[in-house]
Formats: sequence, structure tokens, C-alpha cells
Amino acid sequence: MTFEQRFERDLPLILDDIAMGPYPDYVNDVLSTTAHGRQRPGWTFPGRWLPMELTTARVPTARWPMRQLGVLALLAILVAAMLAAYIGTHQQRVPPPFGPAANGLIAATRDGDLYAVDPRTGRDTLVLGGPTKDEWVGFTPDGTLGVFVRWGPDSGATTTGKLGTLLLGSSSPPVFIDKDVIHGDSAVDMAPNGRDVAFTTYDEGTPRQLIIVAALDGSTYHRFDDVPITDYGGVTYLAPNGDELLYIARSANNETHDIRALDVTTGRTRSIVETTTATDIFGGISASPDGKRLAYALQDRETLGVELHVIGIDGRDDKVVGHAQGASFEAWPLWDPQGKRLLIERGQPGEDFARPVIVDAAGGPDVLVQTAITSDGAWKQWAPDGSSILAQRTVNGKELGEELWDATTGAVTPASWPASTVGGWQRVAP
Amino acid sequence: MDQRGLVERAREGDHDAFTELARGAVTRLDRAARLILRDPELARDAVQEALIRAWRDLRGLRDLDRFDAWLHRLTVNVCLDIARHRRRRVIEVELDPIDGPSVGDISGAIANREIVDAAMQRLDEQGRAIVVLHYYLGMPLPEVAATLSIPVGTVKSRLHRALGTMRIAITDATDEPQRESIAGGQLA
Repeated sequence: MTFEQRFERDLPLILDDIAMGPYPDYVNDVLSTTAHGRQRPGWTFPGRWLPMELTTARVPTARWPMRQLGVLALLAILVAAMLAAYIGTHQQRVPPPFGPAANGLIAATRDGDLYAVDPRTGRDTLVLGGPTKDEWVGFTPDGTLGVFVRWGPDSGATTTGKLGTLLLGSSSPPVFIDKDVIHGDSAVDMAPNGRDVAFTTYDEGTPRQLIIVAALDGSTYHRFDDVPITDYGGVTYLAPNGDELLYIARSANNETHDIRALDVTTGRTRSIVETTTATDIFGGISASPDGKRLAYALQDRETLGVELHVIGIDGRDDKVVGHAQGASFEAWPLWDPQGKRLLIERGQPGEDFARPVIVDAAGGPDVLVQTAITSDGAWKQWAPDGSSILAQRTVNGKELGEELWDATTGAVTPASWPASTVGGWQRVAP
Repeated sequence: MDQRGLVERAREGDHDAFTELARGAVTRLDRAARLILRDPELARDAVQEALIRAWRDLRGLRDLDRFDAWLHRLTVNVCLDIARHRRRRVIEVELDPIDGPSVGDISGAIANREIVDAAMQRLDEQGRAIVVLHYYLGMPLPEVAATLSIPVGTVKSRLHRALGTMRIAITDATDEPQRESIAGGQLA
């Protein structure tokens, strides 16, 4: 018998020995907690009808004074038009928050300092340096603010940081949101209005994940406690207005996951994709730039195969896309700025890595990117103009240098600037 | 009453039945959580949270015969949740001096729980979870994959990598019996 065989044979017994300990004395505490806790109510499970009196009852509504409202609406439109004309002549041009834009600077972090790289020349400029440990998150959709995390000292417990913003092209000091903290695995997305940010954080007391929506200048702040968000998949503002945030939630069966939308004004949630115990959401999700479609991957928990789906944001018209012959999984979709192509990761049976592929949502030919992604994953973002993809792969736990993947040919070009941790690509007006 | 009967009753809200199920499972869950988290207090938190979730969500369990596997899955996932949120924590791992077996006495080294224990500390939580799910809780690899929501191929490669890391650690320990501490162990 070889060393390996003996090792694997003996391992269960040794693990049993290592884990040996007294009978846990806290079981009584747990049982007293559960004795007073309700089991999940039956109506949270699918297949249960709502009471008829609830579904047939008319909601009482007051009669609206339509004429007065019409006059008010006209006045409001007039004022808005005048305001827009004024702002248009006094402000710099910025791109719309979703869809194609021109390529701006690239956010790069090195040794706790923030740099801005011009990808055409490869020249990088220090934006924020010093003894603090800062890390880029990205730019606001209008490209005017840079958003970063200032990490706190390594306290020996969980290291946390706070979100800060920098007005690009200005010497103003950064502004921080002090109320809540960012963790190593927090997800952050900037609102289309360019003023707010949504991020996930972690309540050590509960313990559970939360979603925070706050103004980047710290002036407003809202905490969504009762959202069963998972710690992967992130939060994504939905076009065109950013009224809703998409997130991956634990499903009612507590085994699989659903995709939901949170109304950031009312706090109400709605389901877009619900899974049973037979299937599960796999990896990240991506909303199209027009806010009408959602791309996600669904895993069959029996065969473990993963298929790429595109569904209407209202939860209808679910279709399988991609689906290359022989692929064992197709996942991690990312819409291009035009909303026509999806960058995905495709795996083949027997291979321990995935290949990035650009799939035409309308069924056109694929573009195979000439590289491989290991199970450590890769950070990816489409160039604002959709011509390429900025990527950073991790292999054996080590971040490689940034790369540009050509979206037409699939060719891979190493970045011309010093290796950094990439944060995002600035969108600017065409 | 058999376990299925207890699960049925617990699912209907019978707390006594749940108590019996929890008392039967808690030792194994606690040990699995200790192996993954390497911290008895965090393990305690994880098992408490997993049992509370189990009580709350028991009505959603469709296959009553899979109660044990379901509870293991809940516990491991809570462990990984906890580990993820503490992954930036740097710990100093102090080991007692080891009276190592003579070089070449590999089987003796394997039998030494302290050496294997130290080898486990070299793994990240994902690696430890896979080792614990497969070798301690006896889950087949496809079930490990489903528990961790990763492909079977990834489970195989990570398990292979984890065992390789442990073998190297064991070989190091047998080569350097005087080593007294591993400084700056990093969680994940």
C-alpha cells in the first residue's frame, strides 16, 4: 500500500481523533431559542394559494383631483425643462449612466496607493498616495467621481474599511461615508444618478449580510436589514433609473438561491427567478444596459451541468443562450455596453479551467478569447465603448497583470502599465 | 421512533422531536465545524446558527431521509459564511513542541494527530471543508460539489491540492521535528 493510500485510509480516523471534544454544552441554549422561534410559515413555500378574500378584495382608493394634478404636472415639466437647459449650459458633458460611452481612465491600485492609467499611452498618474491603505472600487457611471475603500488597520479581527470618493481632476480632499463599514467581500455598485452607492456589509452581531444605500457625500443613508442576500453575486443597479437593486437571495428552501429585485425607495422585493431544490443559481448575474433583460446561469443539481439563461426583467420569457455542444458549464455572464453580446466563462468536461467566450445574444457566432480562467477566477469589465474587455486573472491565488481582450478577434494583450489591482474603467462622454 | 418519524414530527412543529434530532447530531456537527474553522468559539456559533436555521426551515425539507445530509450542508455553509467574513484575520498558530517520529516512519507520522492537525491548518477553509465533508462526514464528491455549489471537477482538483498540501506538511514535520511554531498563519 502506498503512502497516499495509507494517508487517505487513515484520514477519517485521524480527523475523528482531532475533532474529539466534550459533548457540546450549548445545545440547551439552541433548543431554548428554537422553542421560542417560529418555523417558517407555510405560505412562503410555492404551491400555496393565497386566501380568496385577499386576492379578490378591492383595494380602497381615494378619488384623485385629476384636473389639478394635470396642471401641476404641466408646471413641473416646464420647470424641469428650464432647469435642464440651465444645467446643460453650465455643466461638463457626461455620458448617460447605461449603454456605450467613450473609454476614459483605468483605476489601478498599487501598494495601497491609487493610480489613474491612460490605456492609450500606458502612463499612470498617482491620484492618492500616502501611508493609508487605499483600494479603488471604480468610477461613478458619469465618470466624474472615483470611489475607493480606505482599509483600517489590521486589528487581528475582521479588517474593515470605509468608502471614500474623489472628485477627479480636482485637489479637493476625499469625502467618506463614515456610517458603515466595508468588508473584504463587500459588493459595491454606484447608482446611475452618480450620487448614491449601494453596498453590502456584514452585521457582526446578527450575524448576517445587509444592503446599504447611501449618498456618496454621506448625507443620506438607508439600511436594508431584512434582505436574505448571499455574500456572492453582489448588488446591481437596474437601468434606466436605478430604482431597483438586483441581488442573489437565499431561497425559502434554504438550499438554493433566487434572483430578486429590491425597490430602494420602498424596500419591497420581488422575485425574478425562483429555484426549486432541483436547480440553483450559479455564479454572478448581469442586467442588460437597457434594464430589460437579465443574464444568469442555472445549475442542474442532479447532473451539475450549468446553462446560461436570459430572462425578461419581469421574470418572463426565460431562454437558454450560448449552449455550446459538449460544454459542461456556461456561467458568469457580463453584458456588453450595447446589450448585444455576453462575455461568459465556458467549461468543458474533464478540464479544470474555463475559457472566456463572447456569445452573441441573437445567436451569431462566438468569439473565443485566447486564454484560460482557473477556479481562482478573473475580474472582468467591458470597455465603455465595447471594443475590448479589461481583465485580471488570478492563478494559484496570485493576481496576474491586467490584460485587454479584443472583443472582435479574441486576442489577448498584456497591459502596458505596471501590474496593479484593477478597479474599473471610467466612462466619459463620446 | 426512527429518524424519519422524528423529522416528520419536527417538521410539523413538534419541538420535542427536534430536540431529539438536535441532541443526536450536535456532537458530529460541532466536530465538523471545529475542523473547518479551527476555532471552538466560531464552531459553536456556526452550529448554533445552523440548528436555528434547521428548525426555522425544516418545513422546506422535501426528502425526509436526507435530514442528516441537509443538516451537514447547512452547518458547512454557515462555517464558510463565518470564515469568509473573517478571512482577513491573521492568526498566530502556536504549536506545542512535537516529538516527531524518525524520518522514514511515515505511517507513524500519519498516525500522529498533531502532525495531521498542523497539516490541516495549512489549508484554507474551502480546502478544509472539502476534506471534512468527504473524509469526516463521508459525503460522495458529487454531494460535496452540490453542498459547496461548485462543479465536481473543481471539488476533485481542490481535494487533490488539499491532500497534496497536507502530505507536504506531514513530510516537512517529519523532516523537521524541532519546529515549534508556524507564524502568521492566514485564514484563507
